[in-house]
Amino acid sequence: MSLGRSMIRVGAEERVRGRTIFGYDLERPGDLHLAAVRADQAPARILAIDPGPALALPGVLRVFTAADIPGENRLGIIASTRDHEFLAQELVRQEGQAVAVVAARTLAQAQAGARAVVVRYQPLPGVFDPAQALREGAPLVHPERPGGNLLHERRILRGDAEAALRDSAVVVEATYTTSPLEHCALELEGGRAEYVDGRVVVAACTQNPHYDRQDLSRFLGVEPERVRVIQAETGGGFGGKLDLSLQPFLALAAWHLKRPVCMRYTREESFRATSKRHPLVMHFITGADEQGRLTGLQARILCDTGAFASYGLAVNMRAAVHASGPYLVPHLDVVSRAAYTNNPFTGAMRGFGVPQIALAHEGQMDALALALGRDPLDLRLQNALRNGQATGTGQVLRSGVGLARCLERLRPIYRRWQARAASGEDFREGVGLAAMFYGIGNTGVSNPSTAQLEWGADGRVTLFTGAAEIGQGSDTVLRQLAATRLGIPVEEIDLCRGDTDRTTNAGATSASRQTYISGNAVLAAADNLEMQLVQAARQMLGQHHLELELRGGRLAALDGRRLEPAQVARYLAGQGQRARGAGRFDPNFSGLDPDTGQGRPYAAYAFAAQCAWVRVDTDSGLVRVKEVAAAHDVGRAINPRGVMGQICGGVAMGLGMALMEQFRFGQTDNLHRYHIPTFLDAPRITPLIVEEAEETGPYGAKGVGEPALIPTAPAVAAAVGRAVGRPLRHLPISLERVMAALTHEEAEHAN
Amino acid sequence: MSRFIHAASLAEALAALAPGQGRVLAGGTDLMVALRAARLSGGDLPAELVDVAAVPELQQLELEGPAPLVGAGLSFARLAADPGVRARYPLLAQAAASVGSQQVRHGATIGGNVANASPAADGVTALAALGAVAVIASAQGQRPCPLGELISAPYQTTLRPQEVILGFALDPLPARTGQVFAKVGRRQALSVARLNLAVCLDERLQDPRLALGSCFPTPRRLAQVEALLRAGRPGPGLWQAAGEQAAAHFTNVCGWRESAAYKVPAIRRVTARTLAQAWALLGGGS
Amino acid sequence: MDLCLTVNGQPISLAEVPGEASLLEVLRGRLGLLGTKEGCGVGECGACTVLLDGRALNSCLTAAWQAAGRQVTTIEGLAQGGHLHPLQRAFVETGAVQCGFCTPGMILAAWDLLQRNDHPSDQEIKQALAGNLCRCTGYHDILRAVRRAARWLREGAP
Repeated sequence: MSLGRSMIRVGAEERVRGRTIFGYDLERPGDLHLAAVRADQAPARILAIDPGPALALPGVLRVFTAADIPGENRLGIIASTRDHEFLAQELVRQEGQAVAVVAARTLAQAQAGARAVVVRYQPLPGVFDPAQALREGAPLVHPERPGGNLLHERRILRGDAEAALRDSAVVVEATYTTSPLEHCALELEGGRAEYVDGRVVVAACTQNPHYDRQDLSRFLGVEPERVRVIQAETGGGFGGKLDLSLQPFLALAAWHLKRPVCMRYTREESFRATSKRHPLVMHFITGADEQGRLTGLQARILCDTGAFASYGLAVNMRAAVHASGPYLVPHLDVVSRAAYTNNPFTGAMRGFGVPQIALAHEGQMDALALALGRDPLDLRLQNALRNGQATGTGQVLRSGVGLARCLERLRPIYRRWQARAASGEDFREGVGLAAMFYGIGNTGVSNPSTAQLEWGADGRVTLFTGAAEIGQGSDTVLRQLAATRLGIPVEEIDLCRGDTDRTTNAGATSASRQTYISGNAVLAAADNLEMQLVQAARQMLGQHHLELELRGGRLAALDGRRLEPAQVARYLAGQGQRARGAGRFDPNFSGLDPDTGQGRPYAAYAFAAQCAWVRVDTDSGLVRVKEVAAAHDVGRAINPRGVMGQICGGVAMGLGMALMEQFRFGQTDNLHRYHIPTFLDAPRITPLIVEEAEETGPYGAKGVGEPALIPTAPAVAAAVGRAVGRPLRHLPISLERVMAALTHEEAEHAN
Repeated sequence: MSRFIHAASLAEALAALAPGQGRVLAGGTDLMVALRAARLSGGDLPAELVDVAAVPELQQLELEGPAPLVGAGLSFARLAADPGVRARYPLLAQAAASVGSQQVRHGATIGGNVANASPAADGVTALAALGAVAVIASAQGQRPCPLGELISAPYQTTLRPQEVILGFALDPLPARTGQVFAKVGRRQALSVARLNLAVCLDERLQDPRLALGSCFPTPRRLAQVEALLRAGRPGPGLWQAAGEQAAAHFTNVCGWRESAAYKVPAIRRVTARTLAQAWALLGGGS
Repeated sequence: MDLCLTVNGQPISLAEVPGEASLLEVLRGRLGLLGTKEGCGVGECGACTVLLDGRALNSCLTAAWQAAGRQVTTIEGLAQGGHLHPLQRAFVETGAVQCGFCTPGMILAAWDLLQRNDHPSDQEIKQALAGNLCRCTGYHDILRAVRRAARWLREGAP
């Protein structure tokens, strides 16, 4: 049985040989090349676009503008907030927005063509701060939109927070901020499109092929059946490949030119054109009684969604729903708002607002611990949600609440590090702790997955899934689940993944949802396949009431007879049928009450706690993270090596968020200016797997992709705060911020 | 489109550069970035790229004797690993080891680092502390040029298109010195220096050397700090005073900019610490 | 004049290679060796790492003509026939590969290290690979892979 055993990842050998063809690698000889013309100012009105000088250049075939879009120009994953004009129509809402696309014979010719297109702009007043954007009279980012610059507001109201805070023994209040971040998947965006028999076929790196097809068909104004999307091997996503990137340009050019086209982004273009992580401003007032029990929370949250909605609504919802942290908080008054600005649009990035909000709820827990004279771990343990308790949205969690177990796993490590943390003439060390919870899947909406399993006449089984593998490991896990349920070795399962002609919608690879949701869909498909095999076997044997079940990869009858499924498949093939089972799973959710935010937004939650040990160089302000221990309740680790890989990768990304990452438009234009952690920055990581089974999960599994990252930045912030003697509430904790904290202390001493 | 010329000798290199349309390519690690940017923006490319990697004169390394010389074509990987450099000019070896990544150090050269003239160039700060004078060759002959004259402004040099840097004459140092190169970046590797510092002390503090980079338009020696060190008694008090002096110099030159809130305390503290470390290498206590 | 070089043991001759063309462009665009990846174009990510006469360098920062008359090894040239190089095997077995985009460069940088130092400390491994960015793994399993490969190369693979 493969379940719970560390598996070698599907595709690993091709990758170490350099044979894997990623979306970025898809160019073929003879392909036309595309290059985008991007606005160098915003906001602005487009007065004129003159393609003439570009068309006069050698090799340039065509310049596309918004006028060439046969269908809808406004795209976006969330139907109620579709507003991303892939080629600016009249208004440029952010710098870097595409205005035209040039098709030419070579990449250099396409790039030269893009430089030659003349666009005349009329500059408009803009707004670059979300708080200002919500003031009366602020310039409107989408003037035609009712509701002005407010994209979305979400309230979570429970009990009487005001009274609870008034009556609390201790109340702490603080403002926390985070910065826009760039995903920095190592693979840059790339893809290719062809026109085949009246259809457009787009192959590109993506996290959501079936959504891509839907929006591309709207873009082209054709039925979805006339668009085929194939998920190319995708070199990392982290949310950055959830929105469409270059696929609309590819589809548009192939549609008009009826020729194969390819396109790639440079790192600079990727930085300019794709979404960022939402920067949040979070004002929190948290109370506790004398015993340390949390009493209430009032939180005001503001998200900068930039020029387009993208996943802004989802981020705003998640920030509100997770504001209480993984704790029992009886009284809540949370208001989260997302505002449009003319900044680069922000969207999905690993955790959808929860990594940001965790900085605030964990900062508050540390502040309470300090005020109460309590140990940070004990205070968290005391308030940790338990099975049978209700979240801030009033959802009673029946099973799968593993936070207390995570904290207990960390306790000895945390204590040991606390005892060993040292200080010297030019350095100080500190140890910090942080916890989180994370709802698996989309918030308060249906987000089903579907899958099929087919038992071939040759004895091999094929799993059909629309779930995008982007490096996180779903190819491996879904095969393990299928193999386990069918009772056959993993090696006997072939995979057909991410091709909209051959697979059905599994939803996005996002929200840590594929193991839980697509995993359940695969199990449902296996059950359905078994049923079909049993029925066919009865027909084949002419015994219509024979009791049969699939066991150890064979059909076993109560009378001891055994039947190979391949035999049954051959029998079905003889009748022009296939042994194919289909499965679907949609988490059991309920929408949130529009006024109070009460409801059941997710069917399952992951829990985690991490602690970090840092050393601060008090001369330079440089922080080095020495160690991180990360305890994650994943329900059930289907592939433990994969789970640990996700945890370690999440920790490194969280460390970048904590210490060094900050996107500044026009300044951080490539990886030498936007710094992500190197091998030398990564700490020693101790991943710890906790399995508190989720009764609705596939074999108890939940998810880990995003939880891996969430506690890291708050844990590092707490550790640095401990070292320098002041809380650090703003990310990233740069050299400058550490030095400011240190010199502040020095100034206090001098007084 | 640029023509690529492999120069097998100095004469070939200078002949290729004589028309003034070429660019010297040593390791290529800065030049290729510039060429890529030019290609993406539609800028001009040099008519010729003159590869000087095979020119023997640029590969000289003379460390002993009265006229030490480091060839401009030596890679940072070589300078970081060379036993002679590590023994005689350890601050240069340390600076070389702190540049970029292993892959970059294999290509990047000390001469290219100077010619690129970044205010944060680690190699330039190290060379400045060692009193380096560039030896510059052209078809007309050779000329010495102190580093401070060669680098005129950020990313600008007085090097003429017909010229190539042959190497750097270094000051001979006393037999025993304490040398430390210190660098502060935003992460543990692959970082541009937020500040870098090269310190060389002798046992009697007769000729203390201290150069600071990433704080001024070009890395420079701090003469006032060196004077203070010469006049003082070695010990924590002196290192602190030198740190104060270095920070004051920074404020005098650059004014109180936003970055000063960080740089002033950082220069003060890192300078004091680096001096203490260098002194400790000479057997002195902190 | 044709650019002549040896790639993965094969002598290659290429016409009309511009002086400014990077080795990366030529390997991918002219020779179809797509295992060498481009992640930034400015020498910052290491995804384009190849071996030039056995030394790891960024092929995006190297002019193709700098490789004239020299030996270039790309990831495609590392396995001997059907047999993976011990580094490749160790990467597969330890889970050092997630999305796999950084993997070829990472393996070649590690190859360079192990050739010079068959018993590297963890710190030496981290230093040698600090020029190769990975966004998926947190480097944890890559460190384990390089340690394991070093042991296999010293002691013979099991």
